[in-house]
Amino acid sequence: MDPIRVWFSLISGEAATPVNLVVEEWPHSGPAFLHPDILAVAAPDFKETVDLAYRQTLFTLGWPDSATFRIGIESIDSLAFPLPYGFEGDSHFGAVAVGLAQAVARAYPDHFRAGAKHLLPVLQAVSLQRVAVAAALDSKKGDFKPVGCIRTKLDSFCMLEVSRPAVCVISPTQNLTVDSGPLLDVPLQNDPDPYVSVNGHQALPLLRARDPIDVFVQLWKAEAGTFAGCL
Amino acid sequence: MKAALRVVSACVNVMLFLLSSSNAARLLVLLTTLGAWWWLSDYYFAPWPWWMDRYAFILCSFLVLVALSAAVFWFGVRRPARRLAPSFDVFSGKASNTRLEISNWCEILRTIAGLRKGLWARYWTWYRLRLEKLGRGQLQVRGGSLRTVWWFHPSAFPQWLAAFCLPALWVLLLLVPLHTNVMEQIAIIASTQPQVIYDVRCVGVTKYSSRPGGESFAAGAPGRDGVFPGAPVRETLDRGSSGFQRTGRCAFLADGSFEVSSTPFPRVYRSLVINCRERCDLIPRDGAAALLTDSVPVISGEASFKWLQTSPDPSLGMTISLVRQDGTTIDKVSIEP
Repeated sequence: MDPIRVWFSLISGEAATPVNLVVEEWPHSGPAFLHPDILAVAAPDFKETVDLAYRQTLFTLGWPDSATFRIGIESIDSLAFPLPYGFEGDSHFGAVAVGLAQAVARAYPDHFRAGAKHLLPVLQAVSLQRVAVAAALDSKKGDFKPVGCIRTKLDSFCMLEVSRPAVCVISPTQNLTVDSGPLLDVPLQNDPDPYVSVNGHQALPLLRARDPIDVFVQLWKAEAGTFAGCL
Repeated sequence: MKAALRVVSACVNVMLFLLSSSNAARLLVLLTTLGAWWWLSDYYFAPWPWWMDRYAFILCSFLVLVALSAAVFWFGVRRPARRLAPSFDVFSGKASNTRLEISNWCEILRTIAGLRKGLWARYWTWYRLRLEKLGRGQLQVRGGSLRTVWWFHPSAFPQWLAAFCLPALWVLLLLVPLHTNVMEQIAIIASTQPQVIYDVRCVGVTKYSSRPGGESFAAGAPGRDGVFPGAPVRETLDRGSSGFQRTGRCAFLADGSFEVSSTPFPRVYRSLVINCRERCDLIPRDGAAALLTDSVPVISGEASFKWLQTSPDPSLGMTISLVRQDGTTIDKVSIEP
């Protein structure tokens, strides 16, 4: 299986760094685990979020008996956007859950739960290469919940000139008119779709999804619209 | 070039869809083919070359099919697809370069079909069914080659068979005899005017010369005031009981043209058969040797021919027959003197 990459943004101090989350197949059974380099500098809540994503995938979609997946983080440009020294927070939940869901669907479709088998083509075919996710887990409902510093994170995607995500997935309840981060003094847009960067960069389309499966369903429909024009 | 090929292959798919799955499209193509055949082959354009009578309907039928396919492709597939395209493109390269298994493509086509109703849904469902019959398991296919990947599979035989019914119809119609009497009967029934020769106009210029072996009829001839050399003549001949009479200045012409008008029923083939009976010659338009008998087509109820008097006898002794394509005479008149 080719590694699966999903965009997300890491907050470090007052800045956000756009990065790629990489999900790779690993030939040992067990839960998904963080790459040792990341694990060494990750805060407990960061590790816990990866575990939550694993468990949600296990219970909703299925998990292979004989293999697992390793979660890594890749820098977009190690000079312009170096990885932070530490990893904390829970806003990478959406990216991990979405990446794991597709990894299981592509590498181990036979281990999918019977009730989720009908989703296999959707989870296999959706392209995540240009998708960013900024969503945390609402542990009571199992849905996505808003993340903090959302404008800082979205701005980090917008400022990329060449390689940038095409769309960013956020929680349906994510409010872009308030921000808990360092840009509180910036006037916020009332109609935030697409997101317009305060720095005048190209606008970033937003996709509001309830959970990882909803992400795939919405992206699938969007892809279908794109494919209809070229098939 | 590649873009043009993509459009052509997509249009071929639409054409195959229309001919194999759409009764309305099949009926339309059938009716237009039959109509074109009847209109152009059974019912003729007199000045056309023979092969136009025979083959023009194929061109019309083909153009109707192409126009129908292009219209459905543009208005039923491509334009709605553009409207459905999201504001973002998640593909890092071209979407058509995406490689997926056939089963995944089928699911995508199922989703696409569900995005709209009507012709859109029918077309994409038909497309999906073509791919489902491939049954190629884990084989990954690029989006760009999906349009043609099923074309040469045995499961595509019914679609190609449906498409080849149209050329078969063309061949069948080519074997049917041309120019039946149907349109003639319609012309007779539909026309409110009698099927006859209406008028004969004499056109020419008087010359200072005499008829061959006869008297001078130029300026100053007794009883012919106003006739002078170079005088243009354009007058309608009087119709008497025995035919048309050259009674005016036309009687002084030794050569000229006759313009004949008859029933102008649209595009039913008629011709004039002119017989000079050795007193005059008929001069063909192509400059060939003069003839005693000639035939000219009647176009929109009008025909003309040139003649030259060759006998000292003032009488032309010319007869003009209006005939159908099958040779039957509708009307026959003589021109005297």
